Amino acid sequence: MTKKKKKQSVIPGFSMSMGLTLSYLTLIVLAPLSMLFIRAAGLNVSEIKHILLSERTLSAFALSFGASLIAALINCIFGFIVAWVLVRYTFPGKVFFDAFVDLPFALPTAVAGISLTSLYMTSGWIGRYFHILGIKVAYTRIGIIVALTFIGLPFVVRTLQPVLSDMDKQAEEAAVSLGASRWKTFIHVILPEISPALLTGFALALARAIGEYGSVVFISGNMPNRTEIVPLLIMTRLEEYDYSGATVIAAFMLIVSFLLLLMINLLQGWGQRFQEAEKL
Amino acid sequence: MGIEISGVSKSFGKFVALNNVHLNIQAGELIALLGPSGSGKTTLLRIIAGLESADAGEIRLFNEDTMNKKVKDRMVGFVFQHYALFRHMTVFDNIAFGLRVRPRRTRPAKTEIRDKVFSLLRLVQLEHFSDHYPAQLSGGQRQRIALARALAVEPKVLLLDEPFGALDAKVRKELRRWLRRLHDEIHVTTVFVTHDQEEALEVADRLVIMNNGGIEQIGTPEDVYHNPVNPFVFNFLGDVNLFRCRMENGVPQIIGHGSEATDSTMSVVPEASQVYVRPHLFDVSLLPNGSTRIKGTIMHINPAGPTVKLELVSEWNERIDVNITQEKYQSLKLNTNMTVFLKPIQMHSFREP
Repeated sequence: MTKKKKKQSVIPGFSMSMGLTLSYLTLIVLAPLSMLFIRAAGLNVSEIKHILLSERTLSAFALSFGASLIAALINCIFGFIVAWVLVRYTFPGKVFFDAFVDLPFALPTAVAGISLTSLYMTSGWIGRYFHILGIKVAYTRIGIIVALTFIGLPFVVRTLQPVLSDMDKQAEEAAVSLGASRWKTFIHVILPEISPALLTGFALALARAIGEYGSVVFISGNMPNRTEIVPLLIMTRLEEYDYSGATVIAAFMLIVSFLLLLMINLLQGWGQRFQEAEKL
Repeated sequence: MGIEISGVSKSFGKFVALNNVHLNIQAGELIALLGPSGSGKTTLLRIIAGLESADAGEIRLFNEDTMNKKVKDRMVGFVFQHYALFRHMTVFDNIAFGLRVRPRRTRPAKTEIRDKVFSLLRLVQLEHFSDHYPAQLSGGQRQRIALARALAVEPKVLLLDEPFGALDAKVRKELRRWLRRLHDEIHVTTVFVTHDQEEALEVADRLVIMNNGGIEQIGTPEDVYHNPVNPFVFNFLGDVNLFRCRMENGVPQIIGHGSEATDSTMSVVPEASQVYVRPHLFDVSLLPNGSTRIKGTIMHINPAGPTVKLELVSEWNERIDVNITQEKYQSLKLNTNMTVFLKPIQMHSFREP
């Protein structure tokens, strides 16, 4: 989305702004994070291996990343639908619905966790219907996904909305007049247009879900090896005064998250290759 | 019959975009829908395509009712003013789109699609641009690609919505001649919308002049230009000067000038109280000579262009636009603030409602 390789910038002062950016990022992001690695580096390889490859750590990682990915995917689908409805249609109360979308941002995550738990308990308003179907939501992995979906929704909706409202409606009409079905129009015309924004929303929702702690601890039940997420595992280690264990897990989590986000960014660049062509 | 439009009406809220429109278009014709913005021409085009639905009335394409036909099954090619190309696809993929989205059993083979795309690229003279993205093309090239894309599905009807509206004057002119030649080559029934009367007069077999959601006149360019049925059409097809007049023995007397137009070629309705004169249909002289003379003072002269444009003010403070040839301008040695005398060569008047 940013324009690269500009010969003459309207706003001068590249060196100054770049310097500021670097020092700011170092101070706010890199310095605290590097502390993690410095601490973790105090351990030898076999100790690190022992911490990371323990069953409890591995299952926490699998759960954290798996549930976050699923939640982010669910958010992509339903976030798209919500954004589409909010952009394309007018209906009474639209302003309110639009405002509702941001609530997961504003709500303290603990509050979200507690209310979701009481809703999805086997005796809760929603949970009792799942219970009839034989599905337990609260205190299971499904509950974790529900909580992570809840907190990630605004990211997808808010990144898609401006793109959808800017989108050329005539391209859709052109596709339909050329004989494309709705589904094919969506796959070949709409999706490529919105995929960069969708990926951004996905990445943000994913990152938020991986780091989420407050709401999940209430709904997950926190059973080691079963419903324990990585942030909680780190907290547990800290409470046990096992600082090196906590930092190793945290550092590893950071690396995996970074690689995931980097991959998404690269994918995004590939999705926008046609926009690069515009600058030739 | 190509397109039969009968009794089509459409409103958007309180705004009546089309009011009981009837129009028949022959197969293979090139028709221009001409009118000012808000006249309903684009709405009519979109209704033919199925992109908009009519509130009342019926559209038949090649003797088939379109009532329950979806856009994708109507076999119409639609070209938009702003091209509406798929910007994430190459030129090749854009043109191939309509063929590739067909259901498997009617979809042509890959090589067939390839041949078709390249033959269309040759038709629009852009063979070398197949792997470019739309953003790398100029406006005129983009519109030709959009046209090729629409033609790829071999539509029975080609609909163009102000196809040259976003292009600059020179390219517009080039492209509209090219469109005319293309139509002579492929003969697909074509309807195009424009607000540019020059474009419509030059390209179309027949013009449909629209105003306020209705049709004012239908006819060949020659017909509508020389025999406009009402002041709106006359006014819309070129600049005009309006004079109030009084009839005396079937001869209009332009009020305020005591002048008559006995020797003018006229298409004047007996009871008319207004006559219209085109700017280039005046005889200009420095001295009053004969009967019909309108006295005017030159306020402004614009000698740039094929004709010299004069802006005059009559004794009665009416503005009169006059166009004369460069030769005439040279021989009369005209200057601003000079007084000249005008004799209408041709006057038009219309039956008043």
